[in-house]
Amino acid sequence: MSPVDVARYLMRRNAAFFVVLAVYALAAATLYAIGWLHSDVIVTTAIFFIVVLGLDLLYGCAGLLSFGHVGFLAIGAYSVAVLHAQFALPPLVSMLIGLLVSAASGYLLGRVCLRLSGSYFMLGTLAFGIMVHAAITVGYTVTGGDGGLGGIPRPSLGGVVLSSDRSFGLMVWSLAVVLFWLTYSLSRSKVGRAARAIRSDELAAACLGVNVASLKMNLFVISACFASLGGSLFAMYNGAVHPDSFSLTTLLDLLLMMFFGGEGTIWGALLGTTFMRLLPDITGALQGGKILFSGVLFTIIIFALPRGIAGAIEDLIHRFSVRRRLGELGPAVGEFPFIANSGANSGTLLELNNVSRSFGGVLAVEDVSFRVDQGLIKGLIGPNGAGKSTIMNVISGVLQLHGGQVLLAGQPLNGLRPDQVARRGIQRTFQHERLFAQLTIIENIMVGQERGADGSLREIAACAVGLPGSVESEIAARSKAYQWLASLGLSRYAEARVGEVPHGLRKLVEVARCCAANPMILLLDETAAGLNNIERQAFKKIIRMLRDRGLVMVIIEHDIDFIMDLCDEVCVVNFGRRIADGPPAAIRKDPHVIEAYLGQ
Amino acid sequence: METLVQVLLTGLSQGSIYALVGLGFSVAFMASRILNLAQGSYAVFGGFIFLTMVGSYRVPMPLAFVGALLISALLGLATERVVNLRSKPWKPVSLDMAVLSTLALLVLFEGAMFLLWGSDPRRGPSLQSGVFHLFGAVVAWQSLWMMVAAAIISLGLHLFLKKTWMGRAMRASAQNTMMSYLLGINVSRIGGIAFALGAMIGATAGILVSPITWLDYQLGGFFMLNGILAYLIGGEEDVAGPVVGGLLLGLVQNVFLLIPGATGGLLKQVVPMLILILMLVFRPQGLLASRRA
Amino acid sequence: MTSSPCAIPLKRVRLGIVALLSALCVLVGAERSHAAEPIKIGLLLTYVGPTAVFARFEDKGARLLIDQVNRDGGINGRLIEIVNYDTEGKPDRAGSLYRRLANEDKVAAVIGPDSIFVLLGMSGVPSEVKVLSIAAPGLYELVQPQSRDYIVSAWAPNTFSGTLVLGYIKDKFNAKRVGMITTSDVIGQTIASTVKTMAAAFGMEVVEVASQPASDRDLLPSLRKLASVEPKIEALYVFGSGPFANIAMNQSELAGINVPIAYNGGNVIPDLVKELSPDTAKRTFLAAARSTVWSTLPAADKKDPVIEKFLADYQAKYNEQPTLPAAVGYDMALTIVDALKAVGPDREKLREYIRTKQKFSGAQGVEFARTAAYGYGSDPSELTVASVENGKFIFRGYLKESLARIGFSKEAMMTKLRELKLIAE
Repeated sequence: MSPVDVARYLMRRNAAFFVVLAVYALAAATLYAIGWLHSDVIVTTAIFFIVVLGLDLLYGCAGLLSFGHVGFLAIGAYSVAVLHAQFALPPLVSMLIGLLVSAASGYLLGRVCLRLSGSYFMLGTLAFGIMVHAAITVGYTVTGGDGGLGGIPRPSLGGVVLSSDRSFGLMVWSLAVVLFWLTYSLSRSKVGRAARAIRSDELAAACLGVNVASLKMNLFVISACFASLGGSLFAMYNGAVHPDSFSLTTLLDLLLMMFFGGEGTIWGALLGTTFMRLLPDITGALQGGKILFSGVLFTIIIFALPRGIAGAIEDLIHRFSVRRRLGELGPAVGEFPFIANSGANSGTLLELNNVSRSFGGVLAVEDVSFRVDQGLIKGLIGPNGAGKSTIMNVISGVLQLHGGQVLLAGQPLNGLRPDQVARRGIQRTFQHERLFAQLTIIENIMVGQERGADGSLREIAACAVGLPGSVESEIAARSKAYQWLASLGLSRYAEARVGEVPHGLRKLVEVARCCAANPMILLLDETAAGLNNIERQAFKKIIRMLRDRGLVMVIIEHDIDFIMDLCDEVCVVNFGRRIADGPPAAIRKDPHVIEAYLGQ
Repeated sequence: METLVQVLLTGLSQGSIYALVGLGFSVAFMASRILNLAQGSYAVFGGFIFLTMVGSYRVPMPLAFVGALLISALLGLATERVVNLRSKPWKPVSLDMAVLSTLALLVLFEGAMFLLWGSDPRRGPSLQSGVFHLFGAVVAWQSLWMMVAAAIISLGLHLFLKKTWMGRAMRASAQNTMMSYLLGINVSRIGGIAFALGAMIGATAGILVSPITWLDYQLGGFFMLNGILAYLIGGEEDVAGPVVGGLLLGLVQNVFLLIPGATGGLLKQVVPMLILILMLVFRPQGLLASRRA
Repeated sequence: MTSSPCAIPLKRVRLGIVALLSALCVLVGAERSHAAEPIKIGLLLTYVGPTAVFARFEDKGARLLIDQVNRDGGINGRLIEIVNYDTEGKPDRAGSLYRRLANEDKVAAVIGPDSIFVLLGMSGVPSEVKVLSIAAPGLYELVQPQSRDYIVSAWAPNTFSGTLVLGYIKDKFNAKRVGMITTSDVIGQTIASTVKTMAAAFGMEVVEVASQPASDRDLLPSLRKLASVEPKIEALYVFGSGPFANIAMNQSELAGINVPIAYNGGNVIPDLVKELSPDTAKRTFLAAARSTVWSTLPAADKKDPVIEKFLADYQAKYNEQPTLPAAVGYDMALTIVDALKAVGPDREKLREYIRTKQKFSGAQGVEFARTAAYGYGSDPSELTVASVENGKFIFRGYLKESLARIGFSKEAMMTKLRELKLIAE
C-alpha cells in the first residue's frame, strides 16, 4: 500500500478534524474582528480545550467519569508556580516535571479507583480532587495557600519570551491542534474502538481480546497528563495561581464543556470549551443569577442534548447519510471468509477435567469433564439452571474455576483473564446479545478482527500518530470486516448503529464478530434464541460452513431439534453434573437425560 | 483533659449532622443506586425555609418545621423525577447520567438559594438556647438536641426499613429494578418516596445545625461531601453505616484540634480525604458492610 | 445653467471653498469630539459570592463621586466613563479582565479588585500591563513587593491598624496577657505573627494562638484551649471574617472568656455584626474609620467637609446610610479623580502622582499621602476605636491617644511598619 493511499485514508477518516478547525478558525476570526471575542478568551479556550480533550478521551471513549481531574490541573499549575518560586526553574521545564508528577499520581489513583464500580470510581476521583485542593491550602508555606503564589514568568521559546497574548496564544493553539489531531486520530483508531467497546460492554470487550485493565489505566494516565499540561499553561498565562481556581466550580465548568460540546465526539470539546469561556461575557448582566443559569443550562443539556451539540450534529449527519432499508429481508449467507486457525492441531482441542465452580455455598458446576475434538461440533444441553452458562464462563475466563482444569490444545487456561483466553484462541457469544452500542456494525466486527487491543502505550502512540503500519492494518481490518458482512448479506447495515438493526440480525453479527477474530474454538451461548425461522436457517448454514472450514464449536441451545441436527456430540448436564455425553442418537434415548428433562 | 472532652463532644455533635445527611443519602442510594449529589442542598434549603418562616413570617416553630420538611420532601421528589425523566422501569437511567443530573440540580439549588436569600450567612432559632457543662466542657443545648434527633431518626429509619412493607420494597427496588417492576412494585413511586424521605432527613439536619453554624448558599456542597464521606466510611449497612461513619468522621476531624498550633486546623482539612482514599484502597465496602462494593 | 466663459472656474472655486469649509468643519468637529472623548476608568469588583456585599457598596460609593464629577462637566471637559466588569471571585478571570481593561478598553487606571484573594491571584498583572490598580484589600502586606509598583490600597482600617487596637486595650484595661484565635490558613497565620510582634511592642504578650479552618463553625475547642491557659488571659484577639468571627466572639462567653475582645477582620458592615450578642458586642473593639462612627463622634471632631459632603450626597442619592465599603469606594474614585485633575489621563503620570505626590483627605476620614514605598499611604493610628451596639458602630476612643498614653511613638510605629514590610524600603 502506497504512502499516498495511507495518507488519503487517514485524511478521510479524520475529516472532521480539518472541517471543524477550518470552520472554527473562520468563525473565531469573524467574532474577533467584530469585537465579541477577546484575546484572553481565545487563549484560555485553547488551554481548557486541551484539558477537555483528555476528559473526552476518558469518558467519551472509555466511559470513565472522573471527578478528580481538577486535581491534575492543580498539580500542573502548582508545579510551575512552586518550582519557579523555590528553584527558579523555567516554566517549560516545570511543566514537564508536573507532567511526571501527574502521570505518577494518575497511575496511583487509577490503581485505587479503576477497580471500583461506577459510583465509587466517581467518589474516589472526587476525593482526590478535594485532597489536592486541601493539600494546597494546608501546605501554604510552599504553595502560598489562600494567598496564592505569583511571579510565574511567561515561557521563552528560542530566546523569545512569549509575553503577549498573541505569541503565547500561538504556542498554546499549536499545542492544542497537535493534541487535537492525536486524540481525534486515537478515537477513530483501533484503540478508540476498543475503548468504546469497554464503554459499551466491558465483559464482551474483554472476551474479544481487549486488555481492559491496561487500556483503562493508560487512558486514565494520559488524560491526567492532558489536564496537567492545561494546568501548567494556565499558570503561565495568568502569572499566578490560587486554590480557588481549582475548586468544585472548575470541575463543573469542565464537565459542562465536555457535555455541552458533545461527549464522545472529541471535536465537541472545542465547541463546549469556547461556549463556556464566552459565557461569562454573555451572562455578564445576570450577576447574581449566573449560578442559577449554569444549573439550568446543565440540566437542559443533560435532558435535551444528552450528546451535546456535536453529538446532535453527528446524529443528523448519520440520519441523512446512512441509507437504511428496513425490511423483512433476512440474511443471505454467502461465502465465508473464515480461515482455520493454524494453531489448531488434530486431536483434542478443548478438554475440561473435573471442573468445579461454586457461588457462595452453592456448587453450580461440580466435577464436569468433557472433551471437544478437532473437527467436531459439541452440544451442551441441560434444563434451566443446570450450569451450562457457568461452564462457558469458566472456559472463557469470565469466572475463575474452583477446581479442576481447562486445557486448550493441551495448555491449561487456569487463572487467565478473559482477554488472554481470547488471544489463546477461544471466542464466545452471550445469552443476551452483546454488541457494542457505541460502535457501528462494521466497527463491531472490526474489533473482533483486530483482536480488541492490547492496551499498551506503544499501541496507543502508534494509533494516535497514525503510523503507516497501524493505518494499513486498519484498512485491511475494515475491508475484511466488510467481507464478513457481505458474506451474511448484511452489507447495507455496515454503517448502521446497533440499535437500528433487528434483533436476530444482531445475533448473527455477533457470531461474525467472533469469527473475525480467527479463533480455534467458538462457544455459542444460546445464539439461536430470538431468531426467526429464516435467521435460524441462516445460522445453521453458517455453523455448518464454519465446521467445514475447521472451526471447532461448543453450542448451548434449548431447541433440542436444533442441537440434534447440528451437533456431532452432545454433553448433558443437570444440577451442575454431567449426566450424559455422546452422539445425539444415544443421548436421545438415555434414561438419565429423559428423567432430567421430563422428570420422573 | 477538658479540651479532650470538649473536642469529643464537638466531634459527636458535628458527627450527628454528618450522620443525618449520610442517612438521607443512604435512603436514596439504597432505593435507586443513584448517588444524589444534591443531598446536601436539602439541608441548606430546609434550614433556610425554616428560618425564613420563623424569622420573617412569625410562624410558630413546630409549624415551620413541618412546613420546611414538606417543601424539602417536594424537592426530593422533584429530584427523583428529574433524574428519572427519560428512564423506564425496564430501562433504568444510566449511572453517569443520573449522577450528572444530581450535580446539575446541586448547582441549580445553589443558584436558587443565592437569588432567594443572597450571599449573607443566616441562622435560625435554636430548639433550646444556652449551654450546660459536662466534665469541664461546654455544650450547647442545641448540640445535644442534634445528637438526640440523629439517634431518634436513625432508630426510626431502621425500624421503617426492617419492619414495614414500604421499607423492604425500597431495598428490593435497588437490588433489581426490573424484577421489582415485574413483581408489581411501583418502582418510580418507591424511588420518589425514598428521595423525599432522604430530603426530609437532610432538611432536619440543616434546621438543627443552622443556629450553631449559620447557613449560606454554598454549604450544599460541603454537606454533601461530608455526608458521602460518612456513608462511605461506615459502609453500605443501611442505617448503622452512615451513623457510625458520621460520628467517626466528626470525631476524627476534631481530634486534630488537640494538636497545638496551626497544624491541627490544617490536618483537619486533609485527613478526611486521605481516610477516604485509604478506605477505597483497603476496604471499599466501608467499615461495617460485609460484602464488597 | 448659463455657460459663460467664467462659469467653470467659478464653479470650481465654489467647490473649492465648500471643500475647504467642510474640511475645516471636520477638523474642528474632530477637535471637539476629541476633546469630548471620555476618560475611561476600569471598575473591577466581585459582585457574586460571599464578598458581594462589599462590592455593592464600593460600586455605589465610586459611582457617587464619578457621577458628580460628570455632572459638573467632567475633568477638563472630558467625562469619565466607567468600564465595569465582574471578577466573579475568580482570580484568573480577574487577571484576564484586567488585561482586557488595559489592552482593549485602554483605561487610564483601574478601581479594584476588591478582595484580597482575588488580588493575590493576579497580583502580577497590573505591572505586566502597566496600569495602576487602586485596590481595596485590607491585607496589602501580602502583596509581593515587586507587584506593589502598580497596586495601591485605599482601605484605611487595614489589618495593621487592627493590631493597634491592642494598644487601646492595654491603655483602657491594662491588659497584658492576650489569647488569640485565628484561621488556620496563610492569612490567619500571617496576622498572628504580626499581632505577636505588635503586642510585644506595646509591652503585652500573646500567650497562646489557637487556629481552626475558616469554614469551621464550632470554635469551642479553640476557645476552651484559650480559656484554660493559666494564668488567665486578659484580652482576646479575634481574626476572621463572616460567621467564623461572629461565632468566635459569641462563643467566647460560653467558653468562659469574659475579657475585652480586639477584633480584626472583614466584619465591618452593620449587616455582618448584627449577630453579635449584646454583651459580647459591648466588649468588642475594632479599628474604624471616622465616617463609620460619624454620628457618635465627639462634637469637636465633627468638622470634616469631605465626610459631611459624602454622607449627605450618599443619603440623597441612594436613600440609605453609607457603610465603610461605600466610603472606600468613594475614596478609590477620589484617588483617581484627584490625580486626573492634577496631571491628566496619562497612565504613567497618574501612577507617579498617586504614588508620590498625592495628598488628600477622603470619605473615610484619613489622609492619603502615599510614597513609592508605602502603598497604603494612610496613618493607621489616625483611626478611631469602635464597638458595636444595636447593630451600629459606636465611637469609643482614638487610637492616637491610647498609643501616646502607653508610650508608643509615631517613630516606633514607622519602624514597625518597615519591619513588617508594609513599607518597602
